[in-house]
Amino acid sequence: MSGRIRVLIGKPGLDGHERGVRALSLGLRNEGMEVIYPGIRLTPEQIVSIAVQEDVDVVGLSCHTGAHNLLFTRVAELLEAEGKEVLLLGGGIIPDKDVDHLKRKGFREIFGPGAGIASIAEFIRQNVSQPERPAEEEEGGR
Amino acid sequence: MPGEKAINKPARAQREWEKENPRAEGTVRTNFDRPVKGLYGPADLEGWDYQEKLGFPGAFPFTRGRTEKGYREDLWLVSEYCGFGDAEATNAYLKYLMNEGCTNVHLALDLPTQIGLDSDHPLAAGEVGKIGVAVDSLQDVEILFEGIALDELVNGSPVTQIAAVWLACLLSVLEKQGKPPRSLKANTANDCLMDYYARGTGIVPPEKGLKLSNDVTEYCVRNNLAGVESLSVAGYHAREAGLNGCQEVALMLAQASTYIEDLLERGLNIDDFAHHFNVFICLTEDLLEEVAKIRALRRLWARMMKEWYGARREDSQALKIRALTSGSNLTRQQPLNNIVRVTIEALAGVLGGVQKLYCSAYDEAFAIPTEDSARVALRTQQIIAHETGLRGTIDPLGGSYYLEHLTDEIEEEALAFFKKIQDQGGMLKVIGSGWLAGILTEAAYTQAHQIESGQKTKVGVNKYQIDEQASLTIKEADEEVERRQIAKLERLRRERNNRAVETSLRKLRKAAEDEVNLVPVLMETVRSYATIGEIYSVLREMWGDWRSL
Repeated sequence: MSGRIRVLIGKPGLDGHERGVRALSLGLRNEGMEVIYPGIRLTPEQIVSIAVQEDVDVVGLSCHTGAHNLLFTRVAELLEAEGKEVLLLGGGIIPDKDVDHLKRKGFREIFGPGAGIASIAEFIRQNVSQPERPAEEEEGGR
Repeated sequence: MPGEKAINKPARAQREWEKENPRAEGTVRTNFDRPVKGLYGPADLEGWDYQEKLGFPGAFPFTRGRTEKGYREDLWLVSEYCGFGDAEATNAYLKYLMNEGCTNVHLALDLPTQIGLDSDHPLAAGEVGKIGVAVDSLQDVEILFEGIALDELVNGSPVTQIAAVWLACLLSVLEKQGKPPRSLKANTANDCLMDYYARGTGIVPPEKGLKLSNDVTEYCVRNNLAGVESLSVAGYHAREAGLNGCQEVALMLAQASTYIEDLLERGLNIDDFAHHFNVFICLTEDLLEEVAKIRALRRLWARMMKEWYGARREDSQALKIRALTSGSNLTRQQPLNNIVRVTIEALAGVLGGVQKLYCSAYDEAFAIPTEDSARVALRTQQIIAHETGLRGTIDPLGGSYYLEHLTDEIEEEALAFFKKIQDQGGMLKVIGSGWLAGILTEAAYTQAHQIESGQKTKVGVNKYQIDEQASLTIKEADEEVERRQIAKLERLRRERNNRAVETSLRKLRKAAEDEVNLVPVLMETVRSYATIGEIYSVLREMWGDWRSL
């Protein structure tokens, strides 16, 4: 592994529930990752722009309000259009029947309520493919 | 009840007993991290004075209850939180619920509506009609209450940012139904402050949100809208965001103080408006701690009103409490277990003596409720009401050594956290500085970690797990609502008198510039069928965006 894993946690749309992403951000930092959490109420376009700018390895999206099909898919499409390869993950309140659909759209895993931070971290470590980075990659993280 | 003379002998005996039966105290902690002893007795209430601490229900300090009648004559208000799709669908659902015995509803509004966006705004995409009903203008509110008498159905809505617009809509519908404004019975939520730190639904900056919230209360006072509870100070969201019961109480006091002090500066008297307030609390499974929390809250509120603000009216001091069972406490794993959890939480509300109770549905972790799961939630309340005998006596746990000790402890902890907030300059300061956000992040992480590490047991999640087979029928989101709602909106924009809309929006802008109470001008604005998005575009333009759109 070269440098720390860089994770962008995104809340697309209007969902203002931050408890999960706050816990996860802190938890993943404690697991040694760089976490960027720019706050709520971003458009898919804004999220992808940050993902590209910050050159992240992982994008995790969170939605509790039923808008995941549209918004998560849009992020996946925009990432592809940008040619930005990331480990794409999702979480929040996602009905089981939508999980397969999202996986077909590029989401490697969807973590529902009760998913542990440690197991998410482990999943990231097992599945992320990181580019080579220079040793000092400390700036830009939050 | 423990009286002074009577405690001493038993207190000494208890201390002897504790010496003879030592145990590792402190291994069990409350949700606010104080140690719990294996036994409480007279020694723990030495010096405790019944009249000072409790008194009688219906009188200061109201610890035991808001009224001297309790639930014997009037049951708590059985209420449900509901709403989805478009106004037509929710109208039908309201009628279904009323048929099933629900006397009171809290209308769920979708996120675009709550955040002042029209259904065709780019950020509304995917969100229309999902977590609540889509309301774009007065037209939707009219459809919502079609065939439902607004002076008979007591209703509320989580209109924490748009309460002024919502009130204007309700009054307009009421007028069309041929009823006087004073007959409106509604709860306009209206606590905008917690949107900014716990709920993420702020629209305009906090200072302006405060102004609008207090415009609603002032309007109700000056127009004698006695049936409108204009402000529901909310601790629920802070609790759901990860804080403990004492912090929940402290935040309600701090939020209330912020509104009160601004209203006093407007020249109102505390006794003019305090009776329009209620609070909105969370109910978790820490049964006894929750009962104690409710009692501590009532006592603190009464003292705040009387001793800090000089309120003389009893209905200024006697707190009305709305309570919702905790949603975040419910699990996706083995969802039927949630019925048990909700029952325990509802019991806490009843034993604590709340005025209005909402129960979550067991499929909370999956989607908004189905008719079946909503019915179970309703039946939970009805079974407690009619089959347990708990209606018969006010504050039945009062006098319990443990409960009184807990009530005092929670009061102490709540005041300490309240002081921390006030020492930093109050709610607006701690919201702006990010201090609260920091505390919430720590709390969220700590709790997640406690469950993950097994420190805290969560049945079905970290203990007694099964191989989950997804067989629950959940409510399907209607993905067509957005398309239909946008079409309705476009038709409205074509068919309404757009000159009247422009004029009314100009008047709104002027009123905002002049810094007057906006509710009167909003009455005209909503009646012109200006949309919520158009109204808030004006306000955001003038006052700024809390989050840039």
